[in-house]
Amino acid sequence: MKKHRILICGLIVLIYSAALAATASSSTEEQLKQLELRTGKASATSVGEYAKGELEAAKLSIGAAKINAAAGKEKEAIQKIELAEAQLNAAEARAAEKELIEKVALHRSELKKLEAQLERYRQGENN
Amino acid sequence: MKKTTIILVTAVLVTATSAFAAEKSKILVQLDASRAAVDALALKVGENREAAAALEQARTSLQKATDVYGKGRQMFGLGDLKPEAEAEVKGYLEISDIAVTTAASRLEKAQAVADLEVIDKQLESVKAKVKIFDDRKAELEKLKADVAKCQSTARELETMKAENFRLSVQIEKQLAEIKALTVQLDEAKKNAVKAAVPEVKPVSVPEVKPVTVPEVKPVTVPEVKPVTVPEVKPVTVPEVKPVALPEVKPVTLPAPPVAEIPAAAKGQPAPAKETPGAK
Repeated sequence: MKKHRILICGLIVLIYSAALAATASSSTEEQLKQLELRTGKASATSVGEYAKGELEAAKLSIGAAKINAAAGKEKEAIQKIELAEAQLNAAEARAAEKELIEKVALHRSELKKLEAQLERYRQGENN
Repeated sequence: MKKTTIILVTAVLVTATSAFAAEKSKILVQLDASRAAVDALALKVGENREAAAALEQARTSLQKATDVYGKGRQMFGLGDLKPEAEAEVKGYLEISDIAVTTAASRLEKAQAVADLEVIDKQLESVKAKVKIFDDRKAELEKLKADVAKCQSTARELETMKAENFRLSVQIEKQLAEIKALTVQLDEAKKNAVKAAVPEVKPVSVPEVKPVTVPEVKPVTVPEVKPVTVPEVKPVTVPEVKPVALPEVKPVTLPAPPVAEIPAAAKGQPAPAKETPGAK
């Protein structure tokens, strides 16, 4: 009787663990898919141009996460996913920053040019 | 021999311990550096939501790293860090550092946005000022072009005036010539008319001497008929046009027909018919 109880309890624990693992695994897969999609979209935008290094690092982290997930290393996979997400965020932020700084430089240059032209007009050089 | 062995074992143990201590201190240094970076960033973030979110992520990762570091030490938290825990700590520290970088980028971006706003305002203002000058310049160019055009037109006008004056003089000259020719023509017409009408000269009738005519028997003289002079018709001169006068040729009028005057009218005795009694 005791043996049966122990066996049933063990079975329940096993089923619960398997269900939990499956849920975690599917969640990881979903996260990975979303990350890949986001990375693909980012590559097509200015991020691919301005933050190529960061984007490549994110891709590598996604790859590593996949490998870990396939090997059943759930914890490592989750950490790599977090890392990839952070890298992707950094890539997007870096690209936005660079793009804007470039725009600022362009506008500043235009401003200087116009100011010089205005000065020439004021001094009567252009008339 | 025993002493040497003891010294060697001690040296090995000291070396190993110092190596582990160095490794341990390396992780701790990284943790401290990450914490310092997060704290420094927290002072700059202010009200920037995007940067604040990244900062929050950095803090979370740093906390995870600290927790793993605390739990991952062997011998009830007094020993060295487990290798798997060390890798995990390093992973979280990396995420924290990346999040700090992200937050810094977002702060830079916000600063760039503010700069851009200021520059754009200045740019707008300067553009407006330059436009005023540009418009004036364009207007000036247009006026210059107009002046040049007017000067050209004035030159043309002067040329045309000179041409007009020259032509007027020529026309006046030609009108005078026409007038003179018209006068000449009129005179020529008059002359032509005069030439056409013959002057009737008085016929000198010789004195008739009394002839002693022996007994003249009445002679039957034929009745003298009156001479009919043909009526002179006026010559119709064609209308003369002022321009392109044809050369006036002298009109050769035909000699007018002269009527035969009978001898009796001339005072000569008419040829007497021989009368048989006159002898």
